Amino acid sequence: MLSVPILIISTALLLFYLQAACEKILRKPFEDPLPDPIVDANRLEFPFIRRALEEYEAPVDYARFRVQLKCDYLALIYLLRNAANQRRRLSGDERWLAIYFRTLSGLLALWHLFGLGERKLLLKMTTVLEYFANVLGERIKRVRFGHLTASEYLMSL
Amino acid sequence: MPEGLAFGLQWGGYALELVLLIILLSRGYLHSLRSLCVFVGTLLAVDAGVRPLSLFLYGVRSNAYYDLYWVTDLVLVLASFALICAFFRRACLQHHEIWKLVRPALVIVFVLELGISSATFLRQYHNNLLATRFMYGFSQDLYFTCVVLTTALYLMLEWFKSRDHLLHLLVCGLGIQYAGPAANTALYLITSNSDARHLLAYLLPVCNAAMLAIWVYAVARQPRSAVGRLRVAA
Repeated sequence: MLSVPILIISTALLLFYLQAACEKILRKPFEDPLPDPIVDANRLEFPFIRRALEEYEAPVDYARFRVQLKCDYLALIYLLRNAANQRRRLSGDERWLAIYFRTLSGLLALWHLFGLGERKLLLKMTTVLEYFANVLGERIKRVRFGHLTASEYLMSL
Repeated sequence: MPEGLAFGLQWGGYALELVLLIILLSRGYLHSLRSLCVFVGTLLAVDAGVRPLSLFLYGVRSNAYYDLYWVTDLVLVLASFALICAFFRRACLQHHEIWKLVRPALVIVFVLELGISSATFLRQYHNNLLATRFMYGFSQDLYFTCVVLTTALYLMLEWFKSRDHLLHLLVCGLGIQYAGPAANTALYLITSNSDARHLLAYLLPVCNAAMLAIWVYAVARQPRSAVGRLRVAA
């Protein structure tokens, strides 16, 4: 029965490679990592959660962190779809990472249920949000709004 | 609905293969990633050319189509083995001493895989024993060999702390392409359940599409200046 170990190992490797592909996409270098204007203007909270978990070794406040990250995710997805994006939809890698974030979010609930450590998952979720913020920052930097009024910009779409 | 889904996955896969080939050729990867170009070309020729043509000529229930399907499957797996070898070569570009060890090992594995696969296949073929169960077992072993080799390559890249992001993504794509079908064929062989067999009809194109999507992303993300550097390195 060689098929049993093959089934177990292959399934584990399939999940591993799916996760590895997401991690590799997240490693994309950005010119200006974590643009503060995006974080400040939208009052995103994930940088503070990350700092609290990484630097201060703060205890995990599961309920609060989860809601905060989910709200950041919704805000960033909305902005990615609508801010300086003429196609009004997510690109392939953004959609892929959005699925990854939702999977991590589901796993976080399971981890919490079984009393496993949530810190690592929360940090991974903040990495995805940071990627989204960086993409947004780059996209907005490329579009020149400066010399346009609001109506001129809308007319140009 | 499931037939529509299978149809969509099939044509989506063809479209991705074509898009990837166009990107590879238009961005000048023919020199730096020749093995990948040849592999994608073969994949497109088999998927969108040979198989639909034989299906049209012989029909889905004919022996000719059945034999041709499995023979082309074998060709594709062996082609991907060659691709993995080319990726190993690329990973070891700056580690010649490791390549001296890896190369004979790859040759031995390739000869063994080719020899054992061909001998088993031909024996069964001459005895008219190309039963579905045999073919699934045969495919399972080939897929699993590719998964193991891909994982060895992935671990090697991590060990080298390679900064070749393109190769990392290409390897992840290959891993997805072969791990899914290997698991599914194993599931079918364990349960002998027709549902597991039907699942493969969807999982195979889904994994193929995932691999191609990752490859398209990896190749399209690469700046043009980096393509020039790759060509020099090649």
